[in-house]
Formats: sequence, C-alpha cells, structure tokens
Amino acid sequence: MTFTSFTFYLFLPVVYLIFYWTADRWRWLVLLVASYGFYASFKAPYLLIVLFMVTIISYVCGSRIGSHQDETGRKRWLQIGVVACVAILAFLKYLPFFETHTNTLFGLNITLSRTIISIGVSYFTFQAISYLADIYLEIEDPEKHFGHYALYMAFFPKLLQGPIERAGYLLPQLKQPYQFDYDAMRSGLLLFTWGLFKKVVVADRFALYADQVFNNVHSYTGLTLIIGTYAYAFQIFFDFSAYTDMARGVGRMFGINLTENFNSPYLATSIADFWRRWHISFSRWILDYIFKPLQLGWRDWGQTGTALALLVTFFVSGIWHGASWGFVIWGLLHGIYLAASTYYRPYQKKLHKMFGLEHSSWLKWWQVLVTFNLVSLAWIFFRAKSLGDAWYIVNNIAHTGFDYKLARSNGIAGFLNENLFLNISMYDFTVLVVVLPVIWLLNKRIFSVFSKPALARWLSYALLLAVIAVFMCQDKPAFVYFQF
Amino acid sequence: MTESSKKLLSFIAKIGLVLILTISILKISGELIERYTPWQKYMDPRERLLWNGHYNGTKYVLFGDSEFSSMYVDSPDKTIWERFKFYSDQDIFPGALVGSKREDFISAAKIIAASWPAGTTIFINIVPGRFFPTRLPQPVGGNYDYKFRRLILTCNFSDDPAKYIKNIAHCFIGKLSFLFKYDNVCKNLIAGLSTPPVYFKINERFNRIWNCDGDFALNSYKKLEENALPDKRIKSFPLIDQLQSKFSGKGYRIVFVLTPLNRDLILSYGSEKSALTIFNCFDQIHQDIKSYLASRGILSIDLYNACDSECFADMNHTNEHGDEIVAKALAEWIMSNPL
Repeated sequence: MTFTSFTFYLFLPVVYLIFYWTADRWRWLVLLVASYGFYASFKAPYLLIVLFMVTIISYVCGSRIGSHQDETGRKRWLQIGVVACVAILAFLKYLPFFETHTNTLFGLNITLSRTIISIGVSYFTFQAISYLADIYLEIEDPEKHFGHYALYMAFFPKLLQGPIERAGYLLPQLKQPYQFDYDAMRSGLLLFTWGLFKKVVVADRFALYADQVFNNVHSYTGLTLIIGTYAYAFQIFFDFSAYTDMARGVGRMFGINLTENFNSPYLATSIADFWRRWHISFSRWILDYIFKPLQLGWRDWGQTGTALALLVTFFVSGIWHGASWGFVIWGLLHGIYLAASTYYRPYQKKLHKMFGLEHSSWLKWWQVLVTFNLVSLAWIFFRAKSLGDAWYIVNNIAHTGFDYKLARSNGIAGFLNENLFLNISMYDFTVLVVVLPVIWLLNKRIFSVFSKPALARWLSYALLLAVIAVFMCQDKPAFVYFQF
Repeated sequence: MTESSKKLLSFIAKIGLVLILTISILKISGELIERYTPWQKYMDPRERLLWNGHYNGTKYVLFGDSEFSSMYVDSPDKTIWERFKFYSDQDIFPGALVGSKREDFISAAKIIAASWPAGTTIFINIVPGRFFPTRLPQPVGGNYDYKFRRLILTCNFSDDPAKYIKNIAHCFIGKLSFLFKYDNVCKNLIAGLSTPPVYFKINERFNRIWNCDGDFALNSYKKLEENALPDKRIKSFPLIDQLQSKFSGKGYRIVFVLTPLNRDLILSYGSEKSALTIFNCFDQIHQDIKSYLASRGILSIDLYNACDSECFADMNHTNEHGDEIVAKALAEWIMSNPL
C-alpha cells in the first residue's frame, strides 16, 4: 500500500474515524496498530521485525544512556545502540552487494537478497540514531512510554520516505490530546491532494522521458541525453516532494505537523544552499550527526579539516543510498562541490564585490543555473544503471552537446521530434508544458485558496481532483525514494 | 452530538459536495468532448469494439482475434472489412481484437450481445494456433481485461468477490464520464492536433511476406516450436461452446471461420522431424474442430487451405493478399447463404 494505491484511500478514512472515536489515552495505540498494518501491507513480515528490533534497541539503549551518570557508560550504550542500528541497516542495504560478490568468489547461487526489500528502513534507523545521539548530548530526555516511542518510530505517514523527524519535535506532538481542527483537516487534505497531483500528473510524466533515456543510454546522444538528465532532475524532485506533501498532509489530519523537506531546491544559488533546501530533514541529520562531529574532531586542520569533513559526510550520504558506485560518486561529487567551495567562496565574494555584482539579479540567476547543472550532473551517476552508462552520458554531452549538423540535416521539426519528444506523445509533452507554470505559480501558495470566495475555492478543489483523474499517468512507477 | 463531531460531519459533507462537483465537471467535460470533437477519427480502428461497440446498423460482424484485425495491411482500404464491403456491397462491423484470449472473446461477446439485434451474422475466426497445445503462459484475465472492465462486468461475484467489487468500481468510473470510458481518448485527441496517430504500416505491422521481410516470422515460429506440446490431444473446445451459447440465445447466425495456415513456413522453418509433428498436430486439430462444429450443427467456413504461401505475414496471419482472399470468401458466403 502506498499513498497512490486504491487501498490507501480506504485505509486512511477508516483509520481516521477509529482514531477520532477513540479516547485520547488510547489514540497512540490506534496509530501504532495502523502504522504496523500499513507497513505489513508490503507483505514482508521481516520488515515488521526489523522495525520492532530497531525500536526496542534504541528504546533500551536510550533509557540506559539516560540512566547512566558516568560518561563511559553513556558512551558505551550510545555506541551499542548506534552500531546495532547501523549493522541492521547495512545488512539489509548491502546484502545484494555481498551476495553478488560471495556468489562470484565461491561460485554459489545465493538469491536471498532478491526476496529482501528495505523500504523505509533507512529512515527509521536514522531516526533511532538521532534519538540516541540527542539523549547522549542531553538535548532530549529518554522517552519513558514505550508505546509513544514506538509510534514515533513507526508513524505511518513518514515511515517509508521520511521526513526524518527529531524526537524533540515529533514525540511531544504524538502525546498531545487530539482536538478536531477544521482548518488543519482542510489544509491537510489539500496538501495531500496537491502532492498526489505532483506525483501522478507531473513526476510520473517526467519519468517517461527519464526512463526512456536512462534505460537505453547508448541509443541517444547530445541533446537527448541532456533532456533525459533534466527530466530525471525534475522527476526526482516532484516525486520526492510530492511524497513529502502527502505525508505532511496526512500528518496534519491527525494533528501532527511534519517537517517541511523541500524549499524550491532548484532555485538554490550554491550547492550549500541546495542542501539547505533539498531533503532538509536528511541534510540536517548528516550535518548534525556526521559533519559537525567530524569538523569538531578535525578543527585543528582548519579549512582542510572542514573540507575533509564535508567530503566524508557526503561520501557516507552516498553509501546510505545503497551499494552502488553510482551513489558513491553522486555523494562524492556533492562532497567535492562543497569542499571546493570552502576554498573559493571568500575569493568569489571579493570578486562579486569588486565588480559590484553582490545584489545583481543576473548574478543570482546565473548562480541558480550553474547550481542546477552541477546538481543535474551528479544526478546522472545517481540514476544511471551502471558507471559505464553514466560515463557515456557525461562524455557524450561534453563532446556532442547540441548537434548542429544533425539538426540541419534532419530539419528542426524532425530534429526536435527525435531529440525532444523521443517516443513520448505530444499529449504528455503538452500536459507538462501546461501544468509546470501552474505548479510554479501555486506550489508555495496553495493555501491562499482558502482566502478566496467560496465558489472559487470549491471550483479549485474540484478542478484539481478532475485534473488528477483525467491526466494521471497510466504507468504508475513507485516513488523513487522508496528504494532507500 | 459534540461540537467537534458536528464539525467533522460538516467536513465529511463538504468532501462529498466537492466530489459531486468534481463528478459534474468530469461528466460535462466528457459530454462536450464526446459530442463536439472528432475523437473517433483518432481512435484505433482495430479496437473499434472497445470504443464504439454499439449496434451501428450493420447486419454482419467480424469477431475474433488478430486474423480478422488485418494487422498486416498498409492502409485502411486494404482491411478485411473494407474489402468485404467492396465484394458484397455490405457493411461489416470490425469487432475483432488483436491478441484476444479466451476471456477477451467472452467479454467481447457480451458487448456484441448487448446491442446487436437478432438475425445478425457473426463471423468468428478460429486461427489454426488457437487450440494448439503449448506451454506458453496465457495472460490472466486476457489481454484486454483492463479495457473491458471499464465497459462491462467481466466476472461473476461467485468466482471472485473482490475482483467483482473492483470490476463494479471500474464500470462505475467508466460510466461516470466519457473521459474514463475508453483509453487514450484525450491522449489521441491532443496528439491529433499536431500529428494524428498512425495505425497502419508501423513497426512490424505492414504488408509483409513471411520469408522476405526479416526474421519476424521465423522468430515467432521458433517460439512456438520450442514451446509446442504436440502430443497433448485437445478433446473439447469450450470456447466454441461458450460463444455459441452466448450468441445463439440472441438469435444470431454464428459462422465459425477456420482461417488459413502457412504450411510452407512450417516446412521451411521447422526441423524435418518437428515440422512433420507440428504439421500433423495442426491438421489433427483442424479436423477435430471441423467435426466438432459439424456434430453440433454449427455453420462454418473452412479456409484452412485457402491461401498459398505469399498470402502470409507469418504462420497464422495473412497479409493484404491473404486478407483479400478471406474477405472475398466471406462475401461469397453471404451471397450464397442470404439471411
């Protein structure tokens, strides 16, 4: 069951009504059972066991850290908890990698990993680690109520793809008595529907382009590869931000405010700015729990220490995404971008000041363009099926780019048809061209509809639903970040 | 009732109203598109049954799978239905669907039976391979399950209650708005503004000759040969019985057409031993079907040996030349067997 499946639209109202009619003191139980039920719908019982194990481990270790007065004991329980969580995560994530290599080395045919999926594991494991670290750092007190803690780990709207919530933010909300709030319900439902629109109308349509190119990269050159890369950049953004909107929408219905995960990331003016806007809960996590400790440890090395800490942090971030060289290179590229910026940033500022460009909107848009292209370059490694494919794309784009000769020989119409539309129908292209400006205009302002007159408001709701129903993509790929 | 419960009820009522408003928008826009746009122009003529399967005044219906769908012709005027009209001066409804499986035949029969009047002549094609035993997997629910679900109830409650309920929901959605009834209406309409969709002479589907235009025919034969179970004897033909019972109750004249087999292809592509085995198996099935139809007094036209080798695109499917022969045979049959 996912947010776009028919079953979810039966599950959600039933859970809500039971939640609503239950007394406050038992509401956590309703949500906990619903969350485990939601997770069970993936028909992988071991996932429930993993979730329960991580919950128990982090709960017990958290309590032990809290109860120990001496630093050694506290540190030992932190290490036990973190190592156990990371080991579970690494086992599930890297099983296919180890299996392939074991099979090759010993001529075996183990196929265990084919039946293993790790949907959501990364997210709740990271949440468990942040909980332990926050207790250790005395930012939070250990949670005493196991039920509340288990719900903090499993709360179904954020279970599969985050946001990765801090205990200090989510736990108090889960304990609060619930009061039906008309405005929260209304905005939650609208946010959910808006997310659904972004996923099934926009992201899945970009996927048509991106999949076609990345599934068979050697059939394409130059402009097509550039378009395929941009298509993937937009697909992953709309897909992931759609999921976050839907999760936040559902959360609001239950009186829970989940963290905003995206803030127009492709309008970032630098890579550092990008990471302040992209997958915010994750980037804060790696910043707080990987980068900062490393930077602190290497502070004696000055700027080099910071650069190195950034490199290592993003290398880990790449590994977190899975056992693939593509993810590692994606992480390293971001690490390199950021590490390099620690050196050139001061000079860049001076240069802008010297030419009086500090407040120039031209400069801002130029920076947006450069940042977007750097991010897109990294996405190539993230999405390509193999390193060879990724290298082919980068190499081909660098050497071919816009092929004027081909354009002249085919004529502009023929050239565009082959390179821009691929085998995608005019219909899908038109839908994207029409809806993208609408999203550009409304993405940050969807709640402004509440201040409009009733007729406009109601028509807007109905139109949004009608557009989803008519223009949703027939092929419904899963959410991209499910795999992580 | 508490204040909060009242608010919740009012919220649910408002959701209901928004849904009604949405349905109205979809219904009205669907009606407008259906009535005032040339959407039919852009639909696949080989799927006519799916997007306009209602009685259109014709007395004859082509029913079946790819053999009656004119897959391997280069233009609409070379299709069996157009050539039939040429020879007989009568319209015939193209109700066959490419790749129909047993379940698709039954669903298609329900659509025809829903609006066609008694006295209609229905030509049902039986390709030689239809009952040929193989280990090739068959799609569950047929190849058109999703499309049929939007139009009719394709299953019974007693067979699978969950599937039945889902089917009811699909039918409801199909009836809700024209936009959901048929796949690709909006898609074809918008695409048609710049480049109308092309349904003839695309990819493998053109007026081809099996041994001249690539390995297409060879590959499909090899697939059959690898998966053939020629020793397995077919004892009954339930599909024939099901179609007969579905149609005969409506007073239709049912004519089973045993379509041609490309004997030269089997001899040319098969190894000496397997070719003979497969050949014999086809002949045996053909004889069995003929006897079966005769024993039940069902009308039939036997075109099994009607075409020579250049009439085929592959083992079962005829090209333009073959379709011409089939269309002519049907036209001659109706002239010698008037209603």
